Amino acid sequence: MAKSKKTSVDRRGFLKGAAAGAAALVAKPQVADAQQAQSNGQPTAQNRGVNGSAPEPTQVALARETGARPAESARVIEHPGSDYMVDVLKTLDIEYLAANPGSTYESLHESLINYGDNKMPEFLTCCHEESAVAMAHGYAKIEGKPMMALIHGDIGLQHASMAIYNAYVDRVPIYMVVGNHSDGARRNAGVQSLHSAQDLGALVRDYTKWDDEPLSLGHFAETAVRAYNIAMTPPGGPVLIVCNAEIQGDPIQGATPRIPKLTLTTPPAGDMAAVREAAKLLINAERPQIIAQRMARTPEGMTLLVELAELLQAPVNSQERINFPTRHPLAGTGWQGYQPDVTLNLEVGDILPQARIDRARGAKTIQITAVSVFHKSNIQDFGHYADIDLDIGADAQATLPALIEEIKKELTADRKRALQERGAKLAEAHKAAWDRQIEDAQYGWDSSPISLARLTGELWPLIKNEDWSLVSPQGFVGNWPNRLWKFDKHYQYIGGQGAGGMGYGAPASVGAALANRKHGRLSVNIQTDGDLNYAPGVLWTAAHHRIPLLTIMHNNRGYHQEVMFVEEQAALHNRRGDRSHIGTKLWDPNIDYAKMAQAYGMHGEGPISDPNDLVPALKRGLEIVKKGEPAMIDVVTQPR
Amino acid sequence: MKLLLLVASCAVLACAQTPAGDAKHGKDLFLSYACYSCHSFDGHGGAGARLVPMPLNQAGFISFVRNAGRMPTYGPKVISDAQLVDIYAYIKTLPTSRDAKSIPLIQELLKEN
Repeated sequence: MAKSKKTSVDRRGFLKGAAAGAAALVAKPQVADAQQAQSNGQPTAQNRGVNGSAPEPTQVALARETGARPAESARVIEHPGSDYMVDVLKTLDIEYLAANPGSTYESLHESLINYGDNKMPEFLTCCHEESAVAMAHGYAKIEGKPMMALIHGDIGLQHASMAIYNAYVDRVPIYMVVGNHSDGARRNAGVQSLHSAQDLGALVRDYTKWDDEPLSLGHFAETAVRAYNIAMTPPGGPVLIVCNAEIQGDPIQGATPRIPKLTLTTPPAGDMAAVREAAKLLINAERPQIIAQRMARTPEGMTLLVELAELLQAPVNSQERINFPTRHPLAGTGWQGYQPDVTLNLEVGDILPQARIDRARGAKTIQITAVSVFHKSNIQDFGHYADIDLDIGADAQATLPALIEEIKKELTADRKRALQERGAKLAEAHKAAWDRQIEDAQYGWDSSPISLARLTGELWPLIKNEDWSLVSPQGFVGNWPNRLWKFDKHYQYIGGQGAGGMGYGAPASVGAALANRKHGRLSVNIQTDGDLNYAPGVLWTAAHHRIPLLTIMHNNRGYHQEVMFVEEQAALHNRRGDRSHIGTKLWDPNIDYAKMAQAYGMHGEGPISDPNDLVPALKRGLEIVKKGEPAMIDVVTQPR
Repeated sequence: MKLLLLVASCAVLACAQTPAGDAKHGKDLFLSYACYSCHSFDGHGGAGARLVPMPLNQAGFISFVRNAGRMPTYGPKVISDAQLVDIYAYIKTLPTSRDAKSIPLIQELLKEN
């Protein structure tokens, strides 16, 4: 993709204006007077908080936070600890860090951009910490390794918390560093205390895989390398390093500590006796079914699952992210009335519904998941306890090679022939089912607002010959991409939020598009309106960092799922059903997403509600994206 | 001749039992009661079933809404019979979709499968 030709004139103009603003700020005498009046920044009676609560920030502290602080002294620290931290981070091969700036990591910030030359990792400016972490979430699902999110003390971490929770439930590695003024004696009064904690990791510990607060540079090195290892070992997850401002800012004393070597832990594979038993059950099953959710961690996972399915001639019901090619003859749930007698569940989140069905029909349930050997107590993401016949506590992808080998060893020629017959029947059922789904696109084809089938269908011919990647969830768009497009590569679909937390879609799409950029892939985001409005500033991040991404608004002007839920409740409570729009709709005024995109510095057009206007607009958007810029097309759509 | 009279009188009776309904008011109700949220703005379905072409007669439609299976059950306190008659009249005005065979893109997609 071509690089942007955007000149730096705009930025120079901005800097000129900013310099004038800063000069005016410095010239304000009342700031200096107030600073003098408050001896050394201590709180006064006037700024003490009400009812004995935490004091309001002092003028000194506020001035510090707003960038107008006076020079503290003439001292110079040539080699702060944060330089060494950068040396450590560089050994981890982290390409990017996303951050909203904050004073608890200011020393590290400066070291990253100057000492580290803003490379490996490169700094990406975000307008919200939730966006930073969600970007890292999307990035990791494409790239298969963590991106860093640099987070400001208490307040930044609390902003980030929802995105951390999504990544935790989605088993996605994210490398997070959060600043903290841990030494109370060295903190400035006011804001620095408000942004510090005795145990900062505790704020998000329930949904981070691991956290640590190193107390020296040597400790930092060990923690930093270990954190990467833990994030990547299945089940993956976000890890957090609390990085003390004092250790960042103090000069390095003497020789720097050795940086330990990173060695990734091999994923846990299943016990061989259990794998053999699973192989026997599957070979002898008359109607086996494979259900895969967060199974394919890498492209190799897809290849292995295809091999397993073809060996068994079993249908594969792939959920969440892509585990199996959608148009493979074995994709789906089998022919009408296909009642599995053995189900193989690979990294399935809450297995109870399937286990119940299996039990009711006397079928056997096999589960392989690494989550079985990693549990916490508070958050209930482990789902229900279920009756399972064979529970293999291991990473499913890492276990498949042994399972495949075992099946190959045990399959007789006669059994193979029987399985081939089943496979032919399944292929027929697959084709019929997919034909029906495609034909269903006819309903509402000419409707205005535009149907999601039309939107998705019209997009397909425009992208199918490109190296494309759908970087947004599909649940809220009726799974139409899955129904109409041909997905056969691991990066072509990255699944959903993890924990169902809205506000994930837009930033995760930008993060995934960032990962796709160096591969020259075309990233497409079908963006729900409710999700975008959590933190739309990520559009600016995409524009600023020239991240090519086609965003198509699925603008149904509401939190549509909730409209349905409230309507259902009204019926259930036997009360009037004409008020479900209260608290659920995003109209009056309608949000102008084209203008929003333009305001953030990218191409934006719409709203488009006539289906005949759709293709020309999509083509214009794609043209811009292919030049290396983001673009947005606002499409007014049917609810789902 | 007797048979003809019987059919004619049944038709009159049927007319008497099935008021025509106000499609314009029905449209307002279709929107305010958020029928569109599951069935789409012109009844082509979404999270809920397709309403066009409507397979039920008016009485069947009202009975279905009162005793629904998958969709919520709407009692007369939530929405009256008269209102349902108007909604039914509106649904009957909604155009049916073009057949998949007349949409070239869908035919292309089918060829790819």
